[in-house]
Amino acid sequence: MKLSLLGLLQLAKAMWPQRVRTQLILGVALVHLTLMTIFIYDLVERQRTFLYVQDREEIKGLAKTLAANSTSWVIANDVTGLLELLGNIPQHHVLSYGMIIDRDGLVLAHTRADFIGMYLSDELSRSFLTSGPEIRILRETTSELDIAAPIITNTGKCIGWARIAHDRGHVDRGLRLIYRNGVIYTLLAILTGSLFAMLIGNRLTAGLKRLMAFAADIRNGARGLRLQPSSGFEVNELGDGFNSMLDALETHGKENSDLRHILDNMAEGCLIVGFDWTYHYINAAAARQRFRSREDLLGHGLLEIFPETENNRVSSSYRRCMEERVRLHFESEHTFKAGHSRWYELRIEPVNAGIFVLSLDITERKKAEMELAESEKKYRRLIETLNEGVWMIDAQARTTFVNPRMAAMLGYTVEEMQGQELFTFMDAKGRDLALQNIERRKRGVAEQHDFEFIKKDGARIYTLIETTPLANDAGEYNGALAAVADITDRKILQRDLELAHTLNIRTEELRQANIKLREMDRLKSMFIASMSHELRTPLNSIIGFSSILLKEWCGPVNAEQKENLGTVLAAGKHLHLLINEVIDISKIEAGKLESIVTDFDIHDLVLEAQALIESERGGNGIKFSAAPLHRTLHTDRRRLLQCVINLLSNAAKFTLKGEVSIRVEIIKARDGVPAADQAEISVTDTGIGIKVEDLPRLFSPFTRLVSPLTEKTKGTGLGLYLVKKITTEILKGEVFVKSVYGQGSTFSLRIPTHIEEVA
Amino acid sequence: MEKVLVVEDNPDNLRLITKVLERGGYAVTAAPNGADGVALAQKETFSFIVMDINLPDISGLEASKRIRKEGLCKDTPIIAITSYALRGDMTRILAAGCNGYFEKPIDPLNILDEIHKITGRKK
Repeated sequence: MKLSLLGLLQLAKAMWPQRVRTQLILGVALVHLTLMTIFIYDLVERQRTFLYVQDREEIKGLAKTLAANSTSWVIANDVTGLLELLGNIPQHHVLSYGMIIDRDGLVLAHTRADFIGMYLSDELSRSFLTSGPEIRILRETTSELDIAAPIITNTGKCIGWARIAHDRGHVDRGLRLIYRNGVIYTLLAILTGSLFAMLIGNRLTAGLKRLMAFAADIRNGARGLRLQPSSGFEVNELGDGFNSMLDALETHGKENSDLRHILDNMAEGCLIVGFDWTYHYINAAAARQRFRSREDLLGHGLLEIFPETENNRVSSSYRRCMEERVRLHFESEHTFKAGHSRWYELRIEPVNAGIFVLSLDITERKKAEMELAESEKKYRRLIETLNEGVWMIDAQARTTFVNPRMAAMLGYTVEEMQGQELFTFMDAKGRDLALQNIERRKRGVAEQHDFEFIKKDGARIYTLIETTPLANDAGEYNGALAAVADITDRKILQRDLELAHTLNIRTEELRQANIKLREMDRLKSMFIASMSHELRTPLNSIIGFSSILLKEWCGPVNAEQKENLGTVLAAGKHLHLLINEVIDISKIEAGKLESIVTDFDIHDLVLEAQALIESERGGNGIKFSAAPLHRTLHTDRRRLLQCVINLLSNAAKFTLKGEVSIRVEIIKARDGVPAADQAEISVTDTGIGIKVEDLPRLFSPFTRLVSPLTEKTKGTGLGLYLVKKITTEILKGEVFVKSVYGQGSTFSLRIPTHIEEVA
Repeated sequence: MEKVLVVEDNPDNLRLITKVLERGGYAVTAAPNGADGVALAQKETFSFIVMDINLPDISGLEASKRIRKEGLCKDTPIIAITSYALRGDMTRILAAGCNGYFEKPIDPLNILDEIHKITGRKK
C-alpha cells in the first residue's frame, strides 16, 4: 500500500509538466475540482439527512392518522371503509403498500386486494404484533421506510395496527439531480479558472520570451540593444536590471578587450592552463615559444601535445600550483621531442580557471650566463690553483679577495681573511711600511717589494709582492691587487747556506765517529764470537782428556797424578764458567741476549738445580731442602735455571754446616698489585752471612767480598752480577737479599710468572 | 761391531770423541771435512753420525742437509757438536736434519748416555 502510494507519487511527479503555464492551468483546475467536489458532497449529504428526517416524520404522522381513522372501522370490522381509508391516502405519498391488520396479524385491508384475509407471519411483522402498542419504525433503508402504528380504542385497548411502507425512490432522485448539477458547476468553475490561468500565463511567458529573445540578440553581438518597457510590471523591473547589467558589461568588456589585446600581443608568453590540463588561453608569444600555433594549443591537453613534460619540473610545478594555490617562479630547461632545447623563466600563479603562466624564453641570456660562468670558473680555478697568493683590498684596506694559496701562506682560511684589514696580518713595523705603500698606490704607483707578514700562529713569513693599484670608474683609488710569493724558504735557505759550511764539517766528523763506533761494536761482537769458539775448542781438550785420564780410561793413575789431573779439570771448568758468564754479560749489555720462553714446572726446575749442585759438591755435609710447589711458569727456563744454580752454588759455597733451603711462593696479583702474578724463589742458607756495609757492592761485577772463605772458594766475581742482570733484564723481575752476618743469607728472585718472548 | 761416522777436522777433538765412542763399543769412521763426510754417509751405513758444525769446507749444517737428501744415511741420527749455541743456532741445527746437539766442551763421561737418549738406543 505504502509502496503503491509512493509509486503513485513518483508517477505524478514524473507526469508533472515542465512548463510554468501548463503548471498554472493544471493547478487551477485541480484546486477547483477538489473544492467543488468537497462542497457538493457535503451539500448532498446534508440534504439527504434532512429529507430522510422529514420523510420519516410525515410517514409517522400518516400512519398515526390512518390508525386513528381506522379505529371505528376495525371495531365495526368494515373492510370497505378501511379500503376507502387506504385509498384516501394522498397520492403524493408514494406507498409501496398500506395495510390494516388486527391484533392477531390478520390483514383486514391492504392496498393490494389479494393480501386481504391473510395473516402476517414473517419475523418483522410478528415483532411488532407481540410488542407494546406504540408507533414503530420497522425498517428504514434508502429505498423504503416501513412504519406500523397501533390502533387504539377510547378505552386504550390495542385492536390492531395500521402499517405503511413508503417508497423512498423520490428522495434519491432529488439528490441525484443535485449531484448532476454539482458536476456541471464544477466543470464550469474549472473551465473558467483554467481560462483565466491561461490568460495570465500567456502574459507572463510573453514577457519572458521577450527577455529571452533579447538575451539571444545580446549574445549574438547586439551589445548596444536595450530592453523597452512593456505592460508587465515585474518584467519591466527585470528589464531594468538587465539594462544596467548590460551597461556595466559594456564598460567592462571594453576594458577586457583592451587588456586582451595587450595580452595577445605581449612579447612575454602568457597562458592559462585549466584544472583539466588544457590550454584555456595562450597568447601569440607563448605559442611561438613552444613552436606551435595558438590554434594547435587552445583547448588541447598540455600533456598530449608535450608528452615530454610529464613528471618534469614544469608539470610538477603546475600541479603544485593547482593543488596548493601557491606562486612559483623558476628557470627550467625544456628539451623538445625534436631534440632541441630551450631555457624558460616561468612565473606560475593560481587563477580561478586553473593557473596563469608567464613564460619567458631566456635561452640566449642563459647561454651568455653560462659562458660567463664558465669563463669565470676558469679564471677562478686559475687563481685558486695559482702557486702565488692573490690578495685584493678595497680603499679602506679591507680584504675583498684572497685565493686559497694566499690564505694558506698565512695559516688562515679564505673565510677568516675575508673583510679583515690588511694591517691585521703584520707587525707594527710592517704597518708603517704598508701605510707608506698605500700612499704610493694612491698616486698610481705599481711596484715590486719584499714584505714580512705575521702568520696566524705568530710565525714570520717573508714574501715578494707585486702590487697594482685599482681604480673605480671615476679613476679614483679603489684599493689594490697584489701577487704574493712566499720566499721564506729562500730566505732560510740563504741563511742556512751560510751555516752549511761549518755544519758540513761537523757532520763529517760525526759520521766518522759513528763509523768508528760501529766498527768497534762489530769488533766486540766478533771478539765475543771468536772467544767463544776459540776458547771452547782448547777447553774441550783440557776438560775432556783430564776427565778420561782421571777416570783411568787410559790406564792406572797414581794418587798424586789424580790430584794434579783434578786441578787441571777444575781449572778448565772454572775457565768454561768464566767464558760463559763474560759472554752472557756482554750480550746482555749489548741487548743481544735472546730469551726463549717456554712452559715448565717450577718445582722441576728447582729439583734440577738442586741435583746439579749436589752432584757437583759431591755432598759435604750440607743439607738441601725444597718444599714442593708445582706451578707452571711461562718464562725463560734456561736463564731462570742459571740464576737458581748460581744462588744455590753461592749458598753452598759460603755455608760450612747447616742447610740450604729453597722455597717457592706465588704472589697473586690483586687489583693490579703487583701488575701480574709473580713467583718468588728464595734460597736461604745458614752460612757466614754478609756484612751490612758490603751489601751495596754485592751485585757489582768482579766483586769478591773479603771473608774467611774467600781464599778457599773459587769464583769469577760475576755470578751475582749476572743473576741480577738476567733477572731484571730477561726475566723482568727483581733480586732481593736479606742477611745477618754470621747467621746466614736469603737471596730471593721475584719474577712474573708469565713473560713475552723478546727476540 | 756397530759403526759411527765422525765428521771432525780438529784432530784433538776427533781423538777425544773416538776414545769415548770406542769405549762405548763402536767402530769409528772419521771424515776430516764435510764433503768426505757426506760422501761416506751416502755410501755406507752407520748407527749414527757425530757432526762438528765448524768444518773447513762446508758447514756441518750443509753436510747434514746433503746427507738427509740422499744416500744410505738419509734416516741415520745425526748428533751435532757446536762450539757456541746462540739463539737460532739450535733451530738451524734441527732444521738441517740433525737429531740433537752438544756444546763444546763436551763431557766425555756422560755424552754417550746423552747420545743414546737422542738416538733412542739402550746401552
